[in-house]
Formats: sequence, structure tokens, C-alpha cells
Amino acid sequence: MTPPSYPMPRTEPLNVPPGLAEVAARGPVSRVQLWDGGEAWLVTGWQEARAVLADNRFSAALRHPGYPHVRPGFRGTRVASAAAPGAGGPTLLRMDPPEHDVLRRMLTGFFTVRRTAAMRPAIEAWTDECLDAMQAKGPPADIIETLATPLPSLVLCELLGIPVAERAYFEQLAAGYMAYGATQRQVIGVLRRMTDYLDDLVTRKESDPGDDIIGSLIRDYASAGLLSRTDLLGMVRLLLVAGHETTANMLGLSLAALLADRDAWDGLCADPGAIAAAVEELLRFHTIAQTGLCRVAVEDIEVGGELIHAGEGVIVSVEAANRDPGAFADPDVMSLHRGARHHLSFSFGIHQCLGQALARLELEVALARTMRRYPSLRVADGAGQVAFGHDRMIYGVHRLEVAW
Amino acid sequence: MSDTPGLVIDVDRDRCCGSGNCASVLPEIFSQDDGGRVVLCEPQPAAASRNAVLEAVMLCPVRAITLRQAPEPG
Repeated sequence: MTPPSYPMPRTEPLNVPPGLAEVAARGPVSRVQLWDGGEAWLVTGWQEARAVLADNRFSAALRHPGYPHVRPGFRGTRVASAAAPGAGGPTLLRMDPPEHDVLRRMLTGFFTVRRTAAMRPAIEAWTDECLDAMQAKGPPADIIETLATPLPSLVLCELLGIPVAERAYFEQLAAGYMAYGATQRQVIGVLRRMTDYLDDLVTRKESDPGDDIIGSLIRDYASAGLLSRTDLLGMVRLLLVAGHETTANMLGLSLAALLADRDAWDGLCADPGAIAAAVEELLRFHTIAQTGLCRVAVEDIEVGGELIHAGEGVIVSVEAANRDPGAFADPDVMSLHRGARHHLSFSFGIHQCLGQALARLELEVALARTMRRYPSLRVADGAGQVAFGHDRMIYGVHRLEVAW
Repeated sequence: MSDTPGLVIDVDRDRCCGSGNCASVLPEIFSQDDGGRVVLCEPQPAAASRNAVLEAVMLCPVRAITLRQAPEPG
């Protein structure tokens, strides 16, 4: 019997694909078929997902022939460095220890809980500026264009030391990189433009490196010969794409989900202290990593009663793991007071999201400021006011026209 | 006085990947140094913190936090 194909289509924009629940019902680890006819293991159980993600015998590197490429365009990036000069090297998300650990440690100090908390006043001010722009534009206005997209960009510009005037360009590149249907040629093209842009950015900063992340990496590591140009550009590319697309889409999806559930919206407007817990549940229920997290077994390893052989591809479905009834009571109910932090939306293991405290803070502040200023916010009248990002590696909302 | 012996927390700073989960959940027990690595401020938590400590252990993505029973007094 041919296994079900992955990724699976959604039938409701604010719920996981029904096909995923069918696969999960068969067991925590099962077989799926990919776009090219190849097969991989799909991990749907929470316990098993944690086991795979925390086990370094599952490699995250693209170089393995068995790496499960979930989108056609991505196949090309595996050979990008050889076949497409200028497309850049792998980011630390696609590296294993010990190389990964050396690079990650250069960054962890910028994302501590303490440093992140210190950004709260700035994030509040940027959110207010975004809402001012929305006020000037509407009603109606697209809150994706006026808040969800610019806010994470403004945070990144400050952290990385990028001129704010350049944000439209890197937003466009990040979006192009994440397009699910992009061809190999398009993905390589985007990677080349991004590498050119980042190379120029780093060159401009070399003469006067500031205290931002790029400046610090230049001063503390690159100029001392401890960080290659390729790795530096890879790190900045990862921070830009991972820091922007994820937060922007999660914020847009959170707004869409809450506006689709008036009681939930009104309840949080009346009780802003509950917003932080609500963010955890939104992260769990509306998992944006809709194409899973990919690994390759480098040894024979048994997981969830299945023997995964060395060389075989494994995809961890964070969406399915976040709905595992063994880990979350009534998992298919969005329960904003649940307050469960053990979802896997930031992954698990050594690759767990570096910026998770920052993402949580951005989401909490953006929701709280929006609700305080616009408790009567609603989706604008008329058809087509909400457009969901089915065609992206990271699920989210492209357009959300709101009125107040 | 509780009858159950208390817990002792151990952290493995070499394993720590700087996720900050522990410092978020229990800032009075866990902190981070300037590089993001875990710093254990209180190795013997009060019994009242037990559930939060267990949560911090579960949330650590690289299992850098472990627990053991405190030795019996006397």
C-alpha cells in the first residue's frame, strides 16, 4: 500500500490537515511519501518527536542522500554550494555538532531572557508606531502589512544593526525563500541575492562595527579569524529569515484566530494578564512549521516501536506532536488558559529556537497593545479580507483587512 | 517539616544550549550568564517549587538539568 503523501492539504484554514490526524492515529511513527515518490518516516507522537529532536544521531545536515526534501525547490539547495556558486553555505540549523555548537554559542548571549526582557519598552514603542500607521491608513487597513510584517523587521534591524530603510528588501527576499512552490532555479536565485545583499551589508559594517549582533560577530570572531565569511553570512541569513517569517506569520495567525473567536478576543481584552498564557496556546494550536522538521538517521535507531535504519529520512511533524492527546488534554480544543509550555513549536534539542523568548515577547506585546487600543477590532466587511499562506513553508496569513 | 527528602538540582553547563527555558520558568532558581549558559542560583529548591522544577527539567531541550534526592539528614 502506498503511504499517504506529505505535506497534506488543510481543509480549514485555522486547523491542522485532517490527513495528519489519520496518520497520527496509526501510531507515533509511520511512513509517508514525498513529492518525488521517495519515502520518509513521519513522527507524530509528542514523546517520539522529543526523542528524535534531542538525539544527535539524527543529523540535520542537507548533505545526506536520504535527507527528506519536502518541497521540490529545496532539492537544489543541497547542491547549491557546488552547483550554484554564490548561493551561500548551510546555516547552523543544517549543521551538526561540533560545528553547530561553536556557532550557536556565538549567538546565545544575544538572546538571554534578561536581554530579551530589556527590549520590552522598545517593542512597545515600535508596536505603537505600527498601530499609528494603521490608524492613518484606515479603517479598513491590512494589519499584516501595518503590524505583523513590520514589527519583527524593526526588532531585527535593531538587533542586527541593519538600516530600517532596507527592511522591505530583506522582507521580500525572506518571503521568496519561503515560497513552497518555488523552483530550484528560483530558490537558488533568492539565495544568491540574499548572499550578495548580506555580503555588502557586512562589508559596510566592517569599518565601524557597532554593538549589534553583526558588529559584535565581526569584532569578536570574524576579525580574529574565528568565524569564516561564509559562516557569518549564513548566521545572519538564518537570523533574518527565522526571525522574520516565523514571528510575522505567528502574529498574523494569532490575530486571525482571535478575531475569528469573538469570545476569546473579548476575554483577553478584559484580562490582559492572561495574554502571555494565551500566546503559549496559540503557539501550540496554530503551529506554523507546517512542513515539519527534517532529519536523517546516522545509525539504526528504534523510535516508537519502529526501527529507523541509518540513512533514512525522518520528518518530525510538530503540528501533529502538538495535538498528541498523550501530552495535551483535549488537544483539538484551543484553550487559551491552558498555559502549557511543553509544545514543540520552537522545536527541541540543540536546534531549539534561539529567539523563543523574543518571539514570545513580540507576540505578547503586539497582542496586548492592539487589544488595548482597539478592543472593538474586527475583520473588515466583504469577501476575501483574510488570505492564508497555504503556499509557504511557514504557515500564516498574507492579508487580514481589519476595521475598528 | 516534610517527610519526603528534598531534591537537589544539578546542571550540566557543557550540555546547555542557552534556550533560557529554565530561567523563564523559575528565575529564582535558574539564571543565565552573559553567554546564555545556565547558572544555578539555588541547588536545593523549596518543596513548594517542586512542580515548577519538574517543568524546568522537562522543558530543557538538551536535558542539561537533572534531579537527585538530597541525602538524609544526620
